[in-house]
Amino acid sequence: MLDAQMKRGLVENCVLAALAREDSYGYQIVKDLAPFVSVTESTLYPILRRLENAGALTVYSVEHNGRLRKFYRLTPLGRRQLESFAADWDEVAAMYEYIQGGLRDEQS
Amino acid sequence: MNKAEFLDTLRRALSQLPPEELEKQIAYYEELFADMQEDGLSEQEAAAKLGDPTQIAQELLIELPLGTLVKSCVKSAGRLSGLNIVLLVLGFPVWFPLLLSFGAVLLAVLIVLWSLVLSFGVVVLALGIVAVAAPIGLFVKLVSASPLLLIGSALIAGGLCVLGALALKPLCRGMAKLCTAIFKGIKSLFIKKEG
Repeated sequence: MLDAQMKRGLVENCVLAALAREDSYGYQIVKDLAPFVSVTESTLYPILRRLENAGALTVYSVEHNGRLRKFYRLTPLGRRQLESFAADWDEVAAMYEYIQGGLRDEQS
Repeated sequence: MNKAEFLDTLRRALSQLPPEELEKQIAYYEELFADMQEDGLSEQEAAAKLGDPTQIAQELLIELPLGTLVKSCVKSAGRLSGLNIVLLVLGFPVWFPLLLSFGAVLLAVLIVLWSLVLSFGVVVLALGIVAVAAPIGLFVKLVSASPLLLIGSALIAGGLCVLGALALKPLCRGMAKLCTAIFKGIKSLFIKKEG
């Protein structure tokens, strides 16, 4: 099981990544992320709120079937956050390589 | 559970939220219901998929920043009844001196703590001055001390000064943390009383 803090950061950046592809709304984000991340509609809302408060995304409404649908758009700040996360991740990937190497050596 | 029941339970469980926050939250779930129904789910299926509204509310309240929580708590406790106002006015001679002395004690404690830090800083500064002044004394001959003593004391004072300066920063930070902890403690005292 993933460490809670780590998972939070990962899910948050997955949401940013979903919005980096295109502006999206709650239900669609959950559907897009479902194959990769175990995020539910209820856990998504606090994440969106946090990101909005942090200025990483903005909200606007679009009319759809006679009702308003809230769309979320990545801000330049959000994009920078995602980029810096991806850059940090290179470091993590290197560590992962090292860990895997250690496990292989042990087995042989 | 249908949509109305779900939203109603959620609204009740989140009643202590600021109104605009609550409306945003409800709107989010209303939109989800509509999206899921467009996807072919029934109201019941959608509600089941979303989960238990009471639990959702709890998780949301935990996620909320402390500031918002305090504000909403204070607001909900802020409606004073007539009796309370009368008691407040009549009790003024009692609670005002108490509050004043409590504030004074708190202020005194903070001043004592920070003056400890300040005096430590002054000691560090004095050591630094000694470390600089002692070698000068070698040439100026203001004091009749042996050169060895002067050099030795300069070295010792210099060393202590550097050590002290290094300790000063964490000391300040620790003190600041202590102060925020004290204030947080006071704050939580009030929340518990009112909530």
